[in-house]
Amino acid sequence: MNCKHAKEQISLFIDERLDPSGQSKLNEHLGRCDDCSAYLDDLKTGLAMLTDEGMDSPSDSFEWNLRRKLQVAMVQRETIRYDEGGDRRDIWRFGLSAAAALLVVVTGGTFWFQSQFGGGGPEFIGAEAATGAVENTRQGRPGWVEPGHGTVMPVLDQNGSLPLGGEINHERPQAASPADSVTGQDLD
Amino acid sequence: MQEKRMAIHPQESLSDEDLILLVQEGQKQAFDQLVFRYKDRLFNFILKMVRDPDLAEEIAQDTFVRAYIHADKYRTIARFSTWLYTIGLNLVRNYMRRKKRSPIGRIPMVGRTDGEKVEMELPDKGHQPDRDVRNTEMKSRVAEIVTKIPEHYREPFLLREYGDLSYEEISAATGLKIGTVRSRINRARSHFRENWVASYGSEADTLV
Repeated sequence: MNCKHAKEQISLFIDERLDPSGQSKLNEHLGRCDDCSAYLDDLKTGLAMLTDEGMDSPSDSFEWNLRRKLQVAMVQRETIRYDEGGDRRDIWRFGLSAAAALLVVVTGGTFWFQSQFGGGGPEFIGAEAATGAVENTRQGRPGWVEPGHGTVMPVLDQNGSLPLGGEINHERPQAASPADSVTGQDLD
Repeated sequence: MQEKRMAIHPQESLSDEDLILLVQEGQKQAFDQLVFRYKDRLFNFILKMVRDPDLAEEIAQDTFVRAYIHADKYRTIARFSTWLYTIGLNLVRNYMRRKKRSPIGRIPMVGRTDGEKVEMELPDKGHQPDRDVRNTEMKSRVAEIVTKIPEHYREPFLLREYGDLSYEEISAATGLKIGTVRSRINRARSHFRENWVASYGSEADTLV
């Protein structure tokens, strides 16, 4: 065993990681090598000093400051948790709001459409109103018919044009009269 | 069941691992005992790495804060001390990295859990009147001897001396192979002894 190897073994010996056989060989080397013996003694003394007199202590305020930091960290953690929970709640809140808004738009649109074109929807209005309109047109009585449901439909004249300047006026025409009813009967 | 264990055994007699398990169960006072057991050695380990007592306190406190906040992540497959020193070592490494990148005197605060980079708040020196008294010549010289050890040798060396970690635990904490740990501790001790003799003389000298 040379001195370099002996010093490696000394380090293992200090850490109690040297098996009996290794210890025996090291003892044998130390018995005849003053340098390595002094190396071991110096290390023992120095390392003991390192963890004894050489130990410093944290200040008296260490634990007080630690407690303060722990309190801050706990508040931060709770805040983060709350914020994360808040994010999830916000998503639900947004989703519900969007669904409610969509419901309002669809419902409002339906009511508006019904108020303009009849309660049965476009197909129904078209079927009933078209009947009266075609009949009036056939009888040469352009004007407006009221097919029901409080709605008013234009009746095309013989030229196939609208009676009020070619544009649909959604306001009830002044000329509307029982003669313009969907029955198409004259009052005369 | 834990309450029964607490009733039978005072906290002083419980192992570190039992204490951290109690912390996991919500018994916060068990953490005080862990702080009491480890604050001095952890502080000294960090102090010998960063060479600044105030900063060492900051990092040691942050180490305990992280251990407490993340107590639920502790698993009994490792000793508590290994886990604690691993946290401390990582904070020291973070500090070292930031120190290399930061302008002098502007060191980002370590240990923030929210990832926010904030300049470190320097502690009020007025709260530590005993600092000068405690810094005896002996402590200063020992610290100087240790800090002369190259950093990559010093890390496993201090984990061994102050943390009392095994080679296997140091390997786990540092990511080094066990053979490397053994070699670096040996080289660190060689440096330590060399500096020690230069400062105090050799035991062999006293025999002459």
